[in-house]
Amino acid sequence: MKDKIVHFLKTDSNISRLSLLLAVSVVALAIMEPDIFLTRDYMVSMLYLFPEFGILALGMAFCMISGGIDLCVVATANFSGILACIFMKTVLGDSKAQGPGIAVFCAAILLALLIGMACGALNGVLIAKLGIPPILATLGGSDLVMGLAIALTKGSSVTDIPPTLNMVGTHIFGNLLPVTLLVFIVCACFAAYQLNKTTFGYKLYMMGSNATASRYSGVDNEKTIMKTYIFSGMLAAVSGLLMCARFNTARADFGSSYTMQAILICVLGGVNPNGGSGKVRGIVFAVLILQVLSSGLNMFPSLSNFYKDLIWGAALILIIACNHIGNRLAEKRVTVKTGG
Amino acid sequence: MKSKKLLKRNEFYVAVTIFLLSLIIQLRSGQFFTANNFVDLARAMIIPGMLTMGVMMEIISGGIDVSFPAISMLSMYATLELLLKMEYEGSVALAFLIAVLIGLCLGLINGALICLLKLPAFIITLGTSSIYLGFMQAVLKSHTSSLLPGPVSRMVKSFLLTVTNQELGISSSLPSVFVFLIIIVAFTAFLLKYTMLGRGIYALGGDPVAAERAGFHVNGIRLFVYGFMGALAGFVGITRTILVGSCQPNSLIGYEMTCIAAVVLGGTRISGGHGTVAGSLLGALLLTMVSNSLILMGIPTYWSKFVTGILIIVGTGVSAYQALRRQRQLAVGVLEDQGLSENGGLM
Amino acid sequence: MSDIMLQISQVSKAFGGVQALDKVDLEIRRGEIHCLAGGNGSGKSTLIKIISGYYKADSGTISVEGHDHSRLNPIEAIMSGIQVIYQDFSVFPNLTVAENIVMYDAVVSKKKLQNWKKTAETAKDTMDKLGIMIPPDALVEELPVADRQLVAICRAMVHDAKLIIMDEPTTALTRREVDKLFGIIRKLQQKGIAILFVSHKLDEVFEIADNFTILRNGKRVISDAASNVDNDKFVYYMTGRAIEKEHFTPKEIRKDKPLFEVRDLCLDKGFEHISFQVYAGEVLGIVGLLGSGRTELAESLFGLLPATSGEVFIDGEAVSIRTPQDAIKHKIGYVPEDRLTEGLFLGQPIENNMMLANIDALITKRKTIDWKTLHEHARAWRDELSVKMGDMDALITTLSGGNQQKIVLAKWLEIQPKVLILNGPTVGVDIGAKYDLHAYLHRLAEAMETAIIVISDDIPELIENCNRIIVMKQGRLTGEYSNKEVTEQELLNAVTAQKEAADEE
Repeated sequence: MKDKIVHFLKTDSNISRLSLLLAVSVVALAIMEPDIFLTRDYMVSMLYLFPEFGILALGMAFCMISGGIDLCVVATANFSGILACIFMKTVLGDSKAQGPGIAVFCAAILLALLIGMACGALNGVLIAKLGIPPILATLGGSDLVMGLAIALTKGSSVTDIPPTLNMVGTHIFGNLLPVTLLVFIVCACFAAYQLNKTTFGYKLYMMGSNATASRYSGVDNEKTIMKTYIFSGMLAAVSGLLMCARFNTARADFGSSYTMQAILICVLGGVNPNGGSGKVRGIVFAVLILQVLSSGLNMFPSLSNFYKDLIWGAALILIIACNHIGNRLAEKRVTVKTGG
Repeated sequence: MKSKKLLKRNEFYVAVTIFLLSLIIQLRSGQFFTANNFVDLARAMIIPGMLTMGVMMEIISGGIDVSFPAISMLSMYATLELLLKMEYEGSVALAFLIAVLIGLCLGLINGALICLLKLPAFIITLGTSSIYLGFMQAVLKSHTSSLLPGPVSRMVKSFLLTVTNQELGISSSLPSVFVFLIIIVAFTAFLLKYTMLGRGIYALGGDPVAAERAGFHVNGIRLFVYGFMGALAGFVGITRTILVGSCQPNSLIGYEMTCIAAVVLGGTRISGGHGTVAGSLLGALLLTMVSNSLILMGIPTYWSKFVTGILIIVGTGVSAYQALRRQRQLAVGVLEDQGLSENGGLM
Repeated sequence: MSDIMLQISQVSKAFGGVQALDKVDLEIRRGEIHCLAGGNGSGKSTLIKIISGYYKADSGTISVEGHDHSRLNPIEAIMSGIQVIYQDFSVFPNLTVAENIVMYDAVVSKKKLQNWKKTAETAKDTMDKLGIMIPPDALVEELPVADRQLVAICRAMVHDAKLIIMDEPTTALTRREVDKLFGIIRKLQQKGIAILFVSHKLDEVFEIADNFTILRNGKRVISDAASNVDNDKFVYYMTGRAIEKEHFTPKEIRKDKPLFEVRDLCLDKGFEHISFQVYAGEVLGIVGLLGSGRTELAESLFGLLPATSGEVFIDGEAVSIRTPQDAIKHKIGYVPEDRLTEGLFLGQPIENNMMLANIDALITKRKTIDWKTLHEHARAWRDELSVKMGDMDALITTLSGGNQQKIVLAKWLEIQPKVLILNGPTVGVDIGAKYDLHAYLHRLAEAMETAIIVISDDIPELIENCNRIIVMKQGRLTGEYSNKEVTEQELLNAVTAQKEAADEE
């Protein structure tokens, strides 16, 4: 077992760096503020918050592995959240009946997922069928989707949502396991399954590595791109529902900094921004690190919340620099060995 | 031959769109072709016009930047704080100078990181953007304030001209800082077209390896481009404060996408190497008109984001789709090969 | 002033313990056309980079026109009149012809401003001098490949070039364009400019070069006048062994029904009226120069460029191939022309590179990837093709060109192809791996289950390996030969003949 772990850490230097970083930050916080950090409530509150952007990051990771990027995730999240909330409000009206409530709730979730997939499909079409570079396609897609959301809500919030969503979304099983965490675990497992076990995942890595060669190897690139962005859109919808549940409202401009955070998590987690590599476990580690760091900041009331931005940005640049230096050293070793 | 070339250019289509849009606005509101509206448009063009010059230069060089709003706000805020603390009462030029220097440094940091780390500029500048913004908000504890240093607040009331609509009694004024827009545009145009540095930016965007072989200092050019954007962003920070008359350190958040969209709409290729000053200005004008004139057309403003999205998709989609079609068909036909090569070759 | 333009003596260069150049001598006179030949890894490109100042030699001397330049840097090299035209030409696709032509000169002379009027004049003068007519304000990306090369030559001329190095200048040109290029090279020669012409095509060496130098494993094997060498000697110097001519002869050919048949296949702008059959047990060669439509035909058969009309039959059944997925479904495999961009996934492990084409078949009942079978198959192909490699998880970039090509081949063998199309299968492959690949193709043919089509312009390779060769020219099939009845010269004539006739019209 020990050998296995050592081997695992050796083969994936990024993961070993990340786990070290996580361990250091946890230990540091535990030593500095043991009275706060080591309480159960505190731990639970950390676990409760991160899934919102963690799930976005999972979708983003798929797009980045494909060699693209999805700047539309936040817009998709809000749009599907808004539509789901409007749907529930309209169907249920003022009735507080419990029986039909559950059915409508399920239908609303399904609707949100479908809307998310539709937004993803829109981006997929723009990229795969029209050939627009992903940055621009999803940028335009984001404006389009967010524009629809703003127009639909006339720029204000959707309030007075039936309470089911908030109740379910903020529930914490046995005061230990938040529903949001459960949702994140399900999404992460599903993503890992897609990447490691299915031919879609296999083709995704290969296409991200060299799209021309994958076409010449019989991969249907268009289909793979479509699937990628639809998957990202679907996860965005899940995240959107979680946001609506937490705030108990829906708005077109929730989570505006989440795009940046999702990209950051991906890069931190070892997803190659040029495509072709990236692992779900890297994403999970990266999300945890960021959550621990930002929760840690919260423990120092003298520091404003804005330090998070500073630290996250610095972490991103630092990790990129570390990876770059690590790669350079590795390259040097190889060149000396083969003399090429 | 000339007309054929014109039809191929993106600028032409953007100009046509602008013309049609202005006709529609005029028909629906009767307010477009008025002196007031033109002055308002010119005023609204100052910020996007300046910023698109830098963004265009970066995209031509094969890069991209999402951190310039953060640079702009940070250098503006730091400068104003500093001048207030000094109780400075001299020339406004110092405010511009300090802001430009701060912006230049921040831009050079971007450039250096991009040269060193060899990762997509998008990711790098996303990171630095977060750092700059976090620094301003957390360390400098930025907040909106209407208290400006004397020389800056005096600039607020400096206008080039004022026009008044007799019927409605509304007057619109063109601020003096509009002059700077003209200077910056002229400078960029000259730099890109008539200096070797400018040609180097195009060369770098066209083929970085070839540029290096040709003897260009590729990293030097990159540093210049990002440094220029930084300095420009610092300048824009002060300019914007003068335009709105107060210090608003969060006002440009999210503006990077609008500028990139304007530049791309104007025909600059996101992959680098192509782009013109006129195109970028037209792109900026189109987006400014859309956000400024929806009310004139009787469309609620909350549709403006949607319209921008449509414009980006259509504007980039048409040329992207043509390129894709070309790629999927035969580039140069074998059967027509002989006909084609008659164009060149020996006399 | 001495007549010697460039003198290189005893130049050595090592990279991390590997001797790329070992005491190499080279001498080029004014107005001489000198051909530099050698296989992959012979040190050709290292030598060029040393002459152009990008690498510094570890030892030895370089003198240009009698001046010692042992510590040459790129700018000095250009200043002393040395210009390199790279294989990819290094022109700027987004700039105009005129600006491209003047660019190097402007950068080297440290100009600060761009004078458009002077640019246009200089460009026009230079093109006039060489008798080249290309619209000076056209963008280079709109030009055909041959014209881009002419732009690169003009650019070299602007800065008073005395020695122009051309790195395999003919690879992307049609025969007609090669003739044009040679015309220009002779004009340059008349102006007293020396040319170092890198090529390993024998006919070109005979045609254009005064002298030649052959490098092998970093050493100079021979320098001599081009008139003193013949085909066999040349190949011997290049490879270090005499060629044994072995012609592939099928043991049996089942002539009852073709395994693969194409009837009247046409592709807009690509090719027209292509018909041929391949029987079980055969290896069919298709020979054509670059631009003859050979690659278009291959890509069309594989569904990358769907044919506009015509029919394709496998085992006597008509099949429709509109996408590469269709091709795989009908068991057609395609080893592409450009291994680096079309065949390999450089950032990926060897195994992933090998198994992609058949991945949809390697699944369990629960639709997940059957990793166990996949690993087994990968190991089996490694042994079958004797790929020299370490771990399956190692990156594909750790393999040599020949072993990489074996991996690409394995990717297609894995689908158990009924039709296997190989486009330039041994380009950039070392002799040993080349031999392995050929031997495997013969074995595959003898198994009687695959129709093999080899597309190439390497005539000796085709004669050696294909029992039947058809000639493709300007998008049409123009002749069919048996490998036992045709000589290399006849085939070469067949490939080039009609084009020359067309030129004379």
